[in-house]
Amino acid sequence: MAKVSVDRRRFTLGAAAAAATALINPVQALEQAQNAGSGQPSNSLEQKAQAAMAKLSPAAQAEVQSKADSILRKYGNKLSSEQKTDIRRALAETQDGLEKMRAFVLENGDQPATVLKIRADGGRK
Amino acid sequence: MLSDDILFLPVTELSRRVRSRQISPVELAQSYLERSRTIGQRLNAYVTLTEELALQQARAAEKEIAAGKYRGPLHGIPYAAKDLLALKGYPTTWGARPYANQGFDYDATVIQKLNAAGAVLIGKAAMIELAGGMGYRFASASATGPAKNPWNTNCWTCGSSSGSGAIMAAGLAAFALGTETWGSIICPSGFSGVSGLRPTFGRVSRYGAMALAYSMDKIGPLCRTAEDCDLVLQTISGHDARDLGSLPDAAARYAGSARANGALRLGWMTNQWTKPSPDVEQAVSAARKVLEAEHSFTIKEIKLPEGPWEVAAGVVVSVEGASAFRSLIDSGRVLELNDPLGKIGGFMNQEISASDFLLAQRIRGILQKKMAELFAQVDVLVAASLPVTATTLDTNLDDALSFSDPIGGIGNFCGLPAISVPCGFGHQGTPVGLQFVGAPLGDAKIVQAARLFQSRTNWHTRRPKVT
Repeated sequence: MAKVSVDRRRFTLGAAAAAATALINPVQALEQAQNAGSGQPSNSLEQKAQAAMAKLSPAAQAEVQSKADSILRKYGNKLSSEQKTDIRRALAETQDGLEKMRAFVLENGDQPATVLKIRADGGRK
Repeated sequence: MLSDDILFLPVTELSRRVRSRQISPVELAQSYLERSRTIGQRLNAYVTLTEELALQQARAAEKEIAAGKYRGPLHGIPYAAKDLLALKGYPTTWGARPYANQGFDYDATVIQKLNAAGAVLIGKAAMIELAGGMGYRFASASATGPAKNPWNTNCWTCGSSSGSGAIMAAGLAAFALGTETWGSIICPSGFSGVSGLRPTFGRVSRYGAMALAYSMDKIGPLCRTAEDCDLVLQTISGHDARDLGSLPDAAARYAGSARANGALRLGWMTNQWTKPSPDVEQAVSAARKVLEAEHSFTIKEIKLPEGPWEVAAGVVVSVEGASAFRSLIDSGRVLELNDPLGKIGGFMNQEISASDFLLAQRIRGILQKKMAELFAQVDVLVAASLPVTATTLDTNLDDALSFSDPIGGIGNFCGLPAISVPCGFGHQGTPVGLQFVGAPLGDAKIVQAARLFQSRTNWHTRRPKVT
């Protein structure tokens, strides 16, 4: 079974990745270049973010970027540069899992199972 | 103070001695409290010790038992509760700094049930902040620091019921309560070498417990033996109208595994772990031989269905968690959490679309059908609890624990019961666990399988050298 980016500690990212990955836009790139010193993203973190983005399709990159932008609009003034980069990296790294989930074939009549239903036979056939 | 030989006894034996008045509940509570104050502190096992309450309950139990009013096998038995269970008169911190001063004026249903059974609460167990609901990368993702593994204090006990794992492995209480949304009972039980039971979803009321994922949270016991887990689950199960996920009473109430003595069809999962470490592989292979030698078991190899189950489960946990902690995230106070991932995870979870959330729920429906088909072939699924032994305290878990865990995702997404029991030791002297997973309401069968395994092995009787 393929390794996925979502596990018991990172399920949170799986959900987030469900929505988007970011292109490293020029403004951010400039900001990052100007950010040096404590609280700034390490080269390694930035490289990981860029590498994760590079693996995605343009549409997926746009989705990640859209989500990252939304987060920064709401919470950007509370986040350090490193956290902003970390968010972009995490969104990008988990996007692939989301796309696999979206590719799962469902029929119109496949209903959502929002809670566990116990049948009289205990769930067995 | 009572000796280690007594303090490491299973509840089944302690209760026999308490009932026959060979052991005093007060002395038992005092002995566990003393260990918890000293050893527990070194292991970061507790958030709070409830000494005053414990001694009051122990004295009451002693008096009642002396008067011939014996309430049952948990009467006078000391336990610890994960610090996400509401307890009147004491802080309930959810393991997280933003909630360090939080208190409730009522007791969680499970605490009420254990009070009624005469059990003695000695403390609130440490845990990963918010049960890991915002994600985490390090064992230090807890307001009380990383829980140290009694088998090797350079190692972690795993989370999120990290303190409950440490408490049981070090003999600091007779049993402990943990919770699992995804892995939080099975992993600490595996890393700490104790027996831990995740009940069928809806069997145990979560009223008064911190919510992380409304459709996936479960409360269960960590104990010395599968038989002890059985006893505790009998006490804490049952319908509760205050928990909207609670099953009807006829389904929720757990009668125990005593009558579950028939033949069991075990399914050995061949695609659960991609590449277990050699020490885990060796211990689990030996465990399989033990199971194969048991005449009441038939074993066949079985493959879990493949699909995006883990991602879908992750989406559901993330969205439900983002809703449960909305005020914490919106206010930005989530940035007060310890872990670098925990600080930002909530922001990302809020970005998941409703469309993806509903898609995940529809996939859950498909998965439940596939698992029902699989459980038509076998009664219980078996595999190593984890493909590795305990990680060190400073490990970046993104690197060390980023493997796929299909049955963890499937089991929790479908509300399936599971139990982890020790089955050997790895290269660092830390335990290896074996998990049994059942169909919904198949709790008695997994306990039966684990109990039989423990009747043929003695891994559950081993104890670490802790001082």
